[in-house]
Amino acid sequence: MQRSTRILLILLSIFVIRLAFSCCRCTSELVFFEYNEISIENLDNSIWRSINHDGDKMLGEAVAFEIVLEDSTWGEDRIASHHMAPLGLPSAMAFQPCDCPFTFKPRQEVMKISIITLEDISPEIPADTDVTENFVCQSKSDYLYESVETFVEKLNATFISFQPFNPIRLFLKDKVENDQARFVVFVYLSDGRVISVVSDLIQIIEGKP
Amino acid sequence: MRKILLLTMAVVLIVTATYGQKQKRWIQDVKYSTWLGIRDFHLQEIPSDQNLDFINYLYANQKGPEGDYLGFAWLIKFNNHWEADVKYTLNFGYNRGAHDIKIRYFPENKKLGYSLGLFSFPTLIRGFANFNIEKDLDFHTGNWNGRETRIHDHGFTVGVALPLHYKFLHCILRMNGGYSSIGRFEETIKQKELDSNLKRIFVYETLPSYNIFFYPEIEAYIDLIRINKARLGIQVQASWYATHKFLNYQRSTYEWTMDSPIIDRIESPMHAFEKNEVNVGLYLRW
Repeated sequence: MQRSTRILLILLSIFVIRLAFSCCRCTSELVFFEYNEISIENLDNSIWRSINHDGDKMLGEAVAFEIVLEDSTWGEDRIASHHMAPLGLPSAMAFQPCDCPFTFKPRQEVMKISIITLEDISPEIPADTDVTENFVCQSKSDYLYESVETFVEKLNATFISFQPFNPIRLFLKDKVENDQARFVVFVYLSDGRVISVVSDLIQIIEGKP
Repeated sequence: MRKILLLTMAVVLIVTATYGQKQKRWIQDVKYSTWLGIRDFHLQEIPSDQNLDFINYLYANQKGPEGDYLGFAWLIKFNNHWEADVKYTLNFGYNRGAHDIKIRYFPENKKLGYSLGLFSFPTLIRGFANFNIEKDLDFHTGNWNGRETRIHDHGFTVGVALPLHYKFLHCILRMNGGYSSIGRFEETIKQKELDSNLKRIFVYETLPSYNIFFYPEIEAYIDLIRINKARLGIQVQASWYATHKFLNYQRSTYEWTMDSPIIDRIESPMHAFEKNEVNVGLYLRW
């Protein structure tokens, strides 16, 4: 075999190997993460759907929050190493990197969520009352809500996403008759830890927030 | 199950018409016809501000003719005074057609025959979400855009038939009546109250709602060309279908969660309904 032909064959083989192993292969391998951070954001639920809301004003019948449980240690390096193909070769880069989501599973289970009101909601619901049953959660599969207890039972399943966080949207069923509202949310984990977050002091208004 | 039965009967009749002629003992005559026709509907609207009335949203509730339709029919006359009649019409706007299958018996030495049949007529219920949009102004009604449901009006008929023949002129008068009902279906309306967290879902499940109908028909046809025993001709058919339609349903109302619905049985009022058809076509008899 001529030398030039041999070189051409070697280069072609390298190209074929790179091509074969550079295609995106999304895996369903479980990626475990820790619940070590909780945050809360206000929601504006005055219109046909709830949207995140920076302000601290809410309508008395539309008090709603989004709680996010996440792993704060999850970073870009974990994303990059997941997207690298076998043999350390970079994955296909036609127009964008491989866009494979992860199959996440938390190491701890959420055992219970409880919500305490720090302000009077109404004469019947004073401050320091457990109002967990007065809240409902937005179901991930249905149009209507689910009770907090029902939602927690489904919270510990694996989920497919690009980042390890679980948003929980909470909606108060009762009308806040006070002119302000504030809540503390406790999340009880299976490893014995209790993580909590306090909402902003919400100003209850009559018109649009 | 009903569709399978109707289709099986139609196939048997068509095969019989095609091959049964070879067995002259039991088939006297076969007639195949095709036609173009127009239909016109009139439905009484009864406004309701309390509960949704699906009949108000029947697609038939449009002023003027509903449109052209194409029809096919096979009529087989057996030597033992029985005959079978299969009609299939196709509205150009729909995917499915209407079926009308009858069997008739003409007692010996009697002019009048008796018939028994099944029919199925497709139509649409359209825009019914507008009821909740217009009534529940404090709510946003979701999944409303272009809401329509294909349904079938089906039932059975009994009747009498009077055939009149004079040389190459033929006329058949038929008087039919029976029971019909709109096929059962289920629809969901989703709402969220504005300026509030409240969400609710209405689940409507229709209930059997049988109504009596009156359905006279007339058919006139002329033999134009005769070749041996085969005859080619032109025919005209007209019919008038009159009834009172209503559609009862069970409404389940879910608020906040899918637990503990409030269940109501709603009875709708009777709406006067008429369907007029006329068509012209060709036939072949042998």
